[in-house]
Amino acid sequence: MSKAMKTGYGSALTLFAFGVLALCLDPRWLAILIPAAVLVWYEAKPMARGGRN
Amino acid sequence: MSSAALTLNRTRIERSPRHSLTIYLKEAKYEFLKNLRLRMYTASVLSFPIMFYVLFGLVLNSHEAIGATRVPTYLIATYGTFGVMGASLFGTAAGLSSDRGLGWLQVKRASPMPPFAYFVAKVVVSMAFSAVIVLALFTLGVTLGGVRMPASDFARLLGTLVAGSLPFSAMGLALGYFTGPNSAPPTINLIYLPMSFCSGLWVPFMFLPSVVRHIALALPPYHLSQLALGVVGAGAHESAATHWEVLAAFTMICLGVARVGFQRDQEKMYG
Repeated sequence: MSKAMKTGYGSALTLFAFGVLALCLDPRWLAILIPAAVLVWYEAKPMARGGRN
Repeated sequence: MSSAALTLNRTRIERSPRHSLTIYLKEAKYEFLKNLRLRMYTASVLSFPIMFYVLFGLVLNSHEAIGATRVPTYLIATYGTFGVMGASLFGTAAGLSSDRGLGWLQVKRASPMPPFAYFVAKVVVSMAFSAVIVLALFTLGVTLGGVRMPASDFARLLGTLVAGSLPFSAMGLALGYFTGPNSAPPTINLIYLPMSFCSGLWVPFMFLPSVVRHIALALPPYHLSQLALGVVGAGAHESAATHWEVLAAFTMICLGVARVGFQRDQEKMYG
């Protein structure tokens, strides 16, 4: 599995976890969870592939 | 036998915040113009909630009341939610899937624009169209339906509904990555129309069958409509925080699904 793929699926899992936390935690936590989720998406960018000829 | 090693230098583009803001604004502006020029998008997204509101809120039931709230006031909240959902889902999902189909994302990838600007533009435009729909419903309600509401309540209703377009934009991104340009509109309709009915956007929630009312609790439009109805004094007296929590959770899960789709696209095309 490439590094880009690992990063991508890691981000997706983080967002799912944030979604579950938003349901379980106190509403005040939304002030942290929402910007954190936006930040995770902000990091989504095309990555140049290396390691091959 | 010799092998040529390709060295990829990752250069970081440094931009001033002002320059970045200009790029984000331009992307949003041209996304708005693109959607405005798509007559089928503009006509369907604007006309459906307005047409239903005129028919059921102004022509047929304008003197009726649901609880203590007059029908024209009640239906601004529910058809407002319906309109916001349509504008957000069609604006993001159909737009994204057609951009993917046309190869427009590859062109964007080759340009030095920040990738996040593309998604921000889609969300901002959905919010702008949502605001137009709510303003149109409110204008009709005030001028033809005798709706009277303090300006602060109207501002809250507008703010709630426009903020409520975010979960549906996130859902649209997720759908846009997993549907093709031809299958996106029917897929959206397959989700959007039953979800609207089950959430009590067409028929008031209390008149729905018991089974459907139980299903509604798991649907995001129900939670947005309850927030909007709470502003006009017709809510189910549930905690607004709970509704926001459900909407936020739904948004994040949809963003997670969209992230999987984004990665899948990258691997399929460039992997």
